[in-house]
Amino acid sequence: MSQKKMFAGMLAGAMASWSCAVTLAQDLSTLPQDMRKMSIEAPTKRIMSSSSSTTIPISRDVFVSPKVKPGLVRWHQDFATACSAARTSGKPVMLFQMMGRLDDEFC
Amino acid sequence: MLFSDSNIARFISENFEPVWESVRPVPTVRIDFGNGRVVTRTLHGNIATYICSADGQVLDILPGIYDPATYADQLQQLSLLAKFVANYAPGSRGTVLASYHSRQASHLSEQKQPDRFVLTEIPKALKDMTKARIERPALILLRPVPGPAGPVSKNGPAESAAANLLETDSHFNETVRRQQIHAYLAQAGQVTPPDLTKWLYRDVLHSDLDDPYLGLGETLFSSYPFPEKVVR
Repeated sequence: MSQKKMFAGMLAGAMASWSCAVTLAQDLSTLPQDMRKMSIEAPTKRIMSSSSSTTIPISRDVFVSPKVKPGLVRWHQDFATACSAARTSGKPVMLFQMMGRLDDEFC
Repeated sequence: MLFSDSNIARFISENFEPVWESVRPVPTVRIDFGNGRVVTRTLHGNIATYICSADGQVLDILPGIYDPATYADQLQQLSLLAKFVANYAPGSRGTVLASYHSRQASHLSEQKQPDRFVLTEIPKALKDMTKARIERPALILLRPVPGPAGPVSKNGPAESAAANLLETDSHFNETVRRQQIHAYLAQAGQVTPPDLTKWLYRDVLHSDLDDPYLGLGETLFSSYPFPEKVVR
């Protein structure tokens, strides 16, 4: 990223924070001096609830399982290939169906 | 892993044309302890082993995860089932298969042991009949097994709890889940794996493939005290 773009990003962030701070300050200025804790926190909470997400952001880090050898069995590529081999060999087809992948460590 | 067992791998390679396929990504649970330690586990057990004829028709299914001994025994039984059905003319194989499933479903629903296939010597009278019959090394018969169905533990008290848990799963698969499958296949006629995959996962393995939470949504969300912090 160029220095120019980085600066533009920082400026945009600072402007957003400043805008929030001004809104908060305006809200607080209308309140009396002698207040209880909950009364002070309420306007802040209102601002935060309107300016931030109520859900935990979803992590974009997708877990990638390490690859492993799928056991000692000589597997066919797909069901059609296995059926084709079965017509020649006379053996039945064994289809192992699963969630995940047999060549993943976590499966 | 079952397929890393050399005896099972050899038996599969010698008796079947094996293939594996994924029905969807596996659910993964990751706990980040915040100190650099992360534990990753998968919700496993949602697997199925179909035995099919060369034209892709389902002969039978082993539902779920099994201990190695039971899995090997059942694969051998299904290998014999395939040979048993193949001995009949193509036009009557559907009826033979439906009859087999109906009989096994009935036994299991009555808490009886399902019948087992056995290899037996050809009687001398049959050997003398035709050349074709002489060339057949043995007869495959479906025979009843006396006694009620029940778990037979192969592990002593010193064996691991995980092994005993696997045996319990195997027993459940071979009784409750297998009964459902036999009953379904007795009525279904000729079906291929895609015809019944969704039914199998939803009604037998209780992991609905059309549900993004695989049936766990109620458990995960209904009593969680911070609904605003749930990411769906």
